[in-house]
Amino acid sequence: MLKSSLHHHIFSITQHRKAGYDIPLHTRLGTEFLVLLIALMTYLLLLSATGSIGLGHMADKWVSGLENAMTIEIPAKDGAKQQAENLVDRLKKLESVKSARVLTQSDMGDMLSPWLGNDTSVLADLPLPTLVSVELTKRTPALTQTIQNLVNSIAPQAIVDSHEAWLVDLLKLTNGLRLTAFVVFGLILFVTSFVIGGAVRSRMAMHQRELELLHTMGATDKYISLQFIRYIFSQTMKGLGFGLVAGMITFIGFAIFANQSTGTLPELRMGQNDWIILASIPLLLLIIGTLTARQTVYRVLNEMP
Amino acid sequence: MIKFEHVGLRYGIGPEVLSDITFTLEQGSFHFLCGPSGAGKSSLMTLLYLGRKCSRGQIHMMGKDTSKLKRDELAELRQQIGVVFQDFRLLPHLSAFDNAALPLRISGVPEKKIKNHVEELLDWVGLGDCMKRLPATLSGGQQQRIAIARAVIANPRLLLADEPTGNLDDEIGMKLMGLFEQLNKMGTTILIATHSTQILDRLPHRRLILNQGHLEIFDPTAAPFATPPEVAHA
Repeated sequence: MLKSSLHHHIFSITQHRKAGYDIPLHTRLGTEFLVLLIALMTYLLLLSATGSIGLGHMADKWVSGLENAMTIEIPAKDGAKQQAENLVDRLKKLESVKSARVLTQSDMGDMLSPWLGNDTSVLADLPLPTLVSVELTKRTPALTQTIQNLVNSIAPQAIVDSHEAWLVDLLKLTNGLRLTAFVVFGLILFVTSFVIGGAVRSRMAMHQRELELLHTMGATDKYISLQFIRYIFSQTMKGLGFGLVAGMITFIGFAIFANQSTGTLPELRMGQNDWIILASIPLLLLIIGTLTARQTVYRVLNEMP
Repeated sequence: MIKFEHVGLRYGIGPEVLSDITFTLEQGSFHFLCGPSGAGKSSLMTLLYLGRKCSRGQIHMMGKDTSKLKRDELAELRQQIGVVFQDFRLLPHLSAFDNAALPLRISGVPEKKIKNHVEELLDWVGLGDCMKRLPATLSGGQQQRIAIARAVIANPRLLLADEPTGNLDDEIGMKLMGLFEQLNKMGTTILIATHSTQILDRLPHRRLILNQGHLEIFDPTAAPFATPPEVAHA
């Protein structure tokens, strides 16, 4: 029994040497939390990157819907309909105006249906303004001013709603959220690097005797650092595996939730570039992990003669 | 080959443990390092295997001023030095084979060559059947032999041994000294730190005698009936 256990131990040790460790980095000495931490960091990075990408898409969709649109509101009074038609005729002649049309009773009914229901007969009794919907090819300050001047000359009492206030607020909000996601992304990377550095330092302190021996035998800093790089690489790979699985489960959950939503929010579709960004996260963690390990080992070894 | 010029060593802001050490070891020479406990033998050995920088003076090794060498050059120089530590310093998680193979792996020798070379050497020191065993499963004498195999496997130009016979009985101790003499005949410079009067009496090599951090050199072949300085101090 003892002999077989000893044989197993010897065999496993030989296997570990084959893996390239002269320093017993395979032994469990309290730095196993690294795998868990990297898994957590991978998961958080995936979430923050996906959040940032999703917010970007939502902002793009909202902005593209509002950016090139304009609504002109002519208060209810006699001749408002005629003023609106004149305005549409003149607007259509402008080069950067893609389309312009007076909203019909039916369009107004659709817009007000959440408050008034589907019975449009009540609209006839209400003093509703006449609305002109304008679609632009490209919004410019000069074009906005030209349209404003045209409206002033044809229907001076009309109000031009260029959705700018909406757009600015929306963009401020989404850009703020994206910046937050970006900062969180950076913080996670920083913390990961910091913790990996700490784990390497702690392993080096635990194996000070072995390090001194290798150093005495003429092991170069590169030779020693490669062992730690290999160790951190394997721990990072394990952590990445767990983190990616957790991330996938969450994304599948999101996808199921999104399919059941009412469509109020824009649908999140990932493009090729988005997938490249997500795929680069494990690579980024691997690079940061190995570089941190290398730098830490070199810094500590530099304290040796 | 090795030249110490007015070398001093102190730890931190403490007093000098080695003062004004000056000596030369020629290529292929054999020396003993003697002196009472606390005389600075281990400190001198540490300087010799480049495990520490001296506080003052100059150390030349194999024609190079060690204070001017870059880290990689120092590592290269260390690869030419074999050390047998008093406490063996075998890596407990590595087999006898892997412990002995360590200097070759560090030097980047291909695995096939390592296998042949290590097996041959472990056979020669009588450990051919213990190659896969961990140090903890071996006796003190066997561990000592692995430590010696590890020190000589890369064919070092300088071999340093700190009390190499300390854990061995007299007979094996003398056998081991025979091994060192053989290596010396093949051109390896050897310095052995020892307390053993039996060895010192039998082998008339030059002695570096340390006392309270100061070094004196005694050559028994030049003055066979003279009293060694450490006896005079005692």
